Amino acid sequence: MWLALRFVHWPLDARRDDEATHARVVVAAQRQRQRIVAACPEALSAGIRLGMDLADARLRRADIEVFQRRIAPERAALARLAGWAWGYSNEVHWAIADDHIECSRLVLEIGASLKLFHGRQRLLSSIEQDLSGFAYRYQAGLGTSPQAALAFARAEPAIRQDGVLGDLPIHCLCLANEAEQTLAASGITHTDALLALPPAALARRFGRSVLDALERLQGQRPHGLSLYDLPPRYDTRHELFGAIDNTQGLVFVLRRVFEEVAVFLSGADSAIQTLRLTLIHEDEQTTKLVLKLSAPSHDARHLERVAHERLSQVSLTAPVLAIGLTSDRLRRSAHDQRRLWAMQAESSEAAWPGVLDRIRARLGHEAVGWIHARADHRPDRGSYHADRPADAEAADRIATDQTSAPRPIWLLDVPERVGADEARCFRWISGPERIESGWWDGGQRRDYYRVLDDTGRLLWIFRDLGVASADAPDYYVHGLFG
Amino acid sequence: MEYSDPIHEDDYAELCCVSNFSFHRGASHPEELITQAAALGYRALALTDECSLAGAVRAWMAAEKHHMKLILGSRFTLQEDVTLIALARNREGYTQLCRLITAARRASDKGGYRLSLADLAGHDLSCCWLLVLPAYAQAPPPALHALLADLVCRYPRSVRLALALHRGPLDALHVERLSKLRRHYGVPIVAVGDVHMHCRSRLVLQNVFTALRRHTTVAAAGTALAPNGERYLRPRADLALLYPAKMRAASCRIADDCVFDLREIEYDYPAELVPAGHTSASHLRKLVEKGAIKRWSNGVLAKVREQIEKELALIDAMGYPHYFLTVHDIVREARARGILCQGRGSSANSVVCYCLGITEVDPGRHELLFERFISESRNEPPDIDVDFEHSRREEIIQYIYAKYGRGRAALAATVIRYRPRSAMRDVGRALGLSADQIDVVAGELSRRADDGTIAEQLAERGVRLDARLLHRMLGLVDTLMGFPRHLSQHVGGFVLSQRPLEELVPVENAAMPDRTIIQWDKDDLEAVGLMKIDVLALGMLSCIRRCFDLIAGHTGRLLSMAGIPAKDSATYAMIQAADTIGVFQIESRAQMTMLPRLKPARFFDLVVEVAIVRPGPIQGGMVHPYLKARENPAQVSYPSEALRGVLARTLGVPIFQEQVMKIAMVAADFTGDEANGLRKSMAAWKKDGGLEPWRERLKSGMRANGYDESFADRIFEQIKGFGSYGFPESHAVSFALLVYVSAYLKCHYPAAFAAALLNSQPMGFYAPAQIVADARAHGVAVRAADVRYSEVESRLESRPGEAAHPDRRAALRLGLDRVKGLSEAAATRIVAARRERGFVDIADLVTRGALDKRARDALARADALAGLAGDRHRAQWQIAAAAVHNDLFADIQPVEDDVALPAPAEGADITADYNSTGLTLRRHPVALMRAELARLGVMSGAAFKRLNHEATAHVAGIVTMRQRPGSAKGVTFVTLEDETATVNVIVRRDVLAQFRVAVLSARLLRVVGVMQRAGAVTHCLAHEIVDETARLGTLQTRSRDFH
Repeated sequence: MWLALRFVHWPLDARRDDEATHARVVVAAQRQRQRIVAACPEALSAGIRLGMDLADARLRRADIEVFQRRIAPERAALARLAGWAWGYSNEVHWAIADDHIECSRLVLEIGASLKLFHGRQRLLSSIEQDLSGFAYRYQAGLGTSPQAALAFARAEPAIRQDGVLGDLPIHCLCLANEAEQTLAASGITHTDALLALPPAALARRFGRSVLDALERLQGQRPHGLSLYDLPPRYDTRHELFGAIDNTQGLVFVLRRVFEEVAVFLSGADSAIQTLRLTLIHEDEQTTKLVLKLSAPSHDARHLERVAHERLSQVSLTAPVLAIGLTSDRLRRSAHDQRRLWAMQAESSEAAWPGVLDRIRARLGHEAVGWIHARADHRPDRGSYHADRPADAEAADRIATDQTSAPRPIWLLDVPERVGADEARCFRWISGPERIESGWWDGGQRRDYYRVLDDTGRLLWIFRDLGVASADAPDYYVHGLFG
Repeated sequence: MEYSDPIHEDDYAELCCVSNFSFHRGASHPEELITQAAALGYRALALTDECSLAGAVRAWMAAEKHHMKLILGSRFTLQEDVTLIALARNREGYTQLCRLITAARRASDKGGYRLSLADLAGHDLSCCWLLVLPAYAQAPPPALHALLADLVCRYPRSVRLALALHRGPLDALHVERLSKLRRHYGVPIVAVGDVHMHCRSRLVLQNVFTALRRHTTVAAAGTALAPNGERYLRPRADLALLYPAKMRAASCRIADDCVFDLREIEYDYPAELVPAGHTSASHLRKLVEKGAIKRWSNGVLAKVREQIEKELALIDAMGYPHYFLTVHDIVREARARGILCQGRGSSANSVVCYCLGITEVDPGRHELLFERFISESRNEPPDIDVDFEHSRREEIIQYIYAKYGRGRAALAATVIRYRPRSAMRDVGRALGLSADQIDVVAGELSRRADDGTIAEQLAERGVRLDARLLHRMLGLVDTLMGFPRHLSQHVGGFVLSQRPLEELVPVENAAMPDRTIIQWDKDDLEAVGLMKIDVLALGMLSCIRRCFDLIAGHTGRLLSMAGIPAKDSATYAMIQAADTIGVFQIESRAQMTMLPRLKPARFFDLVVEVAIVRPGPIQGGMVHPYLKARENPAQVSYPSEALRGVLARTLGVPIFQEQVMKIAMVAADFTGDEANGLRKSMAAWKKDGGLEPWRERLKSGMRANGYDESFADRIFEQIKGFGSYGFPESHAVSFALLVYVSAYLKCHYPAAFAAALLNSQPMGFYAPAQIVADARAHGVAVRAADVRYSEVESRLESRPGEAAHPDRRAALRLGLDRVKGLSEAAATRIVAARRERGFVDIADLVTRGALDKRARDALARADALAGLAGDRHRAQWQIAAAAVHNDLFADIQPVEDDVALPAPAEGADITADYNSTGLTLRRHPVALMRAELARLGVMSGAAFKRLNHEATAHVAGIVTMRQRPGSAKGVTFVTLEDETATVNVIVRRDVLAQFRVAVLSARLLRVVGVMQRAGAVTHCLAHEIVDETARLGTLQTRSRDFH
């Protein structure tokens, strides 16, 4: 006995962003048009349908929030769900929709588990309960082969419940497009009519393809689906929808992430002892944390507590866009050990050069940093501070990009106004260098000069061109040449 | 300022400046640059667009206006990444420049260019100044040394180093590096601005361009953006602070040395058409005389003779005879090949064109004005537009290329400019908006609300933008609109020349392979005095020719355009009843509602109909007074006898451009040329202004002739309104001729006309389904596409048992081209195989027709196999079997037991008909649901037409058309079709808001409303609209939306 679960709106449901305020749809480019590939119930009730043009959908609901389909997070989410399904069956097949697969799906052999779960009804309701907990929308079908289960999952609810194979419209069989069209155009609309056709006649027209499909459907031929194998470790990545820039928000997101870990572990009947957490920022920059437990666990709240503690020692340098999780080897769990586990976190950064660590210990973590270049004409945006060295490639990119203009190493955070008396003593070395840029985010128009002040320091000063000055212009010191 | 003036201390000439014709680089129009340079007192400005002279004519015109000295040049970034600027010193230098640009452009795909150091060596640039522009503050790369060494060796006196300073961080270093080069090569330095915009504020747009060119956003473009806005036309005082006087003086001297003016280009039309012993003028006269005898076999009237002499004298004086001979030759060639063609536009004002067979309208029979076509004072070349059959125009184009060679014939360019949506898309992209957000913003923008409202509306639709950013964005979109984006090919404007074109203007590749375009568009050509002939395509000409052929093939009767009897009352009766589906021009919805009111009864009425039933005149309120005057001609009064002469034909309402010209001539004593000047200003005043001087001239002239002030004002206002929609009578006359001919054919040869329309698709307003339905409604027997009988195209068949009826009542056999998915090649093979012998069965058809799977399925689904295989289901089942075995086992027919297949239901058949051929000869789909609709209280379309005005209506039908004419104040028109009639539904704005989705996307609609009747014209004014598309199931229907 096989159970097929078709996740019709997986591209949207896999995102699990429950807090959205608008009607939401996910679109993907198909034949150069943006087409709807998933929609929330609200959008569906406005008449938006899968496969519809985005422009068409907007006609029905102007304020829909639109997301582009992203395959990687969909795949990661379904792979995690396959781990959950492992709890119900040792034969699990999963796939997300692509050019060949019409709908994201999970197929489970449940015959062997019926006894364990005290019968079909109990088993199914347990599965149903789990799935509604995840808020995944799905269509289920039962059959004697995976293909039959899928075919029922594609059918109208009336047939889906307890129909016979022959009642299925042939479009539920997901035959090759051409074969399906030819059959339909020949007046063959239902499976019973198809089964009644002489095999030789079918072979003559479609080769083996339709016969093979029918044999698989009836379980007379191996189903040929790739089966899920429990991975040696838990290894996944959660894309966040909307960047998170504070620890608080991160803790909230992690709660759900760990819930999924727990579901997976209970399905796999396993536990883990180490979990590497990678916070992924823009440009694939990362912050890495290691959560180390003193003993294997599969408890979400334990993980959460450890993570919380660990995070309190970390300052987020940049917004988090995604979270990667990698565990150590999964261990078969011993159920009664749970309460014995204690938690302890440890820094993975023990390898920092010792000197740096000592300076940081003395002066505080924030006191030590790196200056990185950024491609922007405006001096105060031309560089930024970070608590780690830039990766070599990015540094190179910027170095070759910029004309090597004379720039002071030391820039004042807030430029200092120069008194009129002071300015009179300047010796003007060069300038003006005119910088007018950044109109898209505030903007700046300045003339920069290099001057020597009366103590012989080489200063970098500017005058704001945006301010009309009646008489003598105001100058500001912006930097100091080494 | 004269360039012979001594050079003053603060003089400056800009030698390096790009306009927006350096696409996505320059941020100002050429006109803006010239105007600003003049205002700043520059000694000269060189326009040096990147490998282009596309902006040259515009700059030249602006320079004339502002008495600014313009130098033509171009800049090139060589493959080796060094930059060279070439300036034309004289006429020869200009030719050298054109050749260089042409070579670089032709060596690349459309829109790009390719020039290397090695290529450069193959060009003669001895009459150009050559400026080398080194990159900012960089150590000179080897290529720069190579370029300098090469140039200095070949042109020791005309090479300069160009120094551009923009207040960068390393100006001193840059100057030093250039000085080193100067010393090394002995090449003087000149000051240049490397100008990209006329004023500093365009920096924002220039940044946007940089981002677009790099396929990124301004925020991410980083240091690729210009660091500041200094690359504008700076005041001379600022430049004096920046560049040494010597360098500025050097620039001025170079500017003074460039003496080329576009006026100097000599242009001759190809001369080979003149036979030995003739001059062009005498040959033209001979052809005209010959034509005149043909046109007026009873002798040429004195008035016409006089006109011919006047025209020939003028043509000769202006040096145009070659041009007329060329057009004549092209038209003659088309005739010889049996391709229908007809001149349109202002050439219809010319008797010479009529005699040469270029136009078909006798100008003597209409009040046409030769001045509208050519005039002595106006230094503009004549412009002749000729329509050819759209399916055979390519033959003519190839003839022209073959006759004159590719070096002497090229298409004019069309400058594709930014429009609101494209401007929004590019600005949005550069500002980092997603494609989806851009769509939303563009949608809101098209409604033209103010910023605040737009921001709110955007927020409602989920797009939140910072107010400042939005403001900035809208400003950018505004500026960007009208900017050139790229050059494209003109629809058919050929420029021909006696000498190679590339000596006159650069030639570049078009998108189509083997097409080349010149870098100037039609306005440029006109300004410079180059002549073009428009070789245009017109679907109706193909249709008419096909119709003639079909009639000849079926009845042996040979028709021709000239041979169609005039004043045919049956034809006019049909037109008055608005029974005009398929007829040229008057088949649109607006035209069809107007026909029963205007009741055209003679040819001139058709001319008027063509001219006024268009959005402009309807909006301009011209139609109503004319209708009123027609109902009561006695009431029409004229301000003077003289004006009665001008306006009587159109019952006091000025309808044609020529009439406005005549009014000015008659009432205010304008000369013919002045009147034409007024016409041109009329067309352009909304864009350029410049109508005011004419107001004074017109009013004083009218005062002098005793017209009162208020009348003069009224006339002037009318002229102003006229500007946007005035239609030349000559054009209307040419079109009206096609209206009449096509109406005549539809009236007397409905089967042939319908077949010709089908064979000329796509064209016109109606889909094949409506054309076929209309033919059947007119008693034409239409027969389905069938492999046993159909040709590739639709054709006429005799009805069995009847002799081929001489005129009508022929049956229309649909062609295999109606079968969707069947290629023309496959259809041709089927027809050829059948000619050998008829098909015995499906296997025979598949084998001898060599039909692939796609073709086989297409035929089965279109029910074109009925005679060989039975119904659709059986045909499909059988042909699927033929599939696998046709090649290997062609002779083996495996015996197969009959399989029990259900017969297709009628609904399924109709659906399959539509889906496979776009039409059905069975019942109308709505007929099948009639009983259900009746239960809902829906009446048939025919019943609706019988309702009284204001009666409640309840109709349903398939949506075949949606329109929202600009003239209709937010009203949307929807056409519904059922098995009895088509119903026109009016959806008011408030109703649309309520039923928006249904109105805009449903394929089957049910409408509750009221009847609006005006005589025979009926509309259903909608109150409630229901989407009934679900009833159609998988039936695919097609609607022509907002066309």
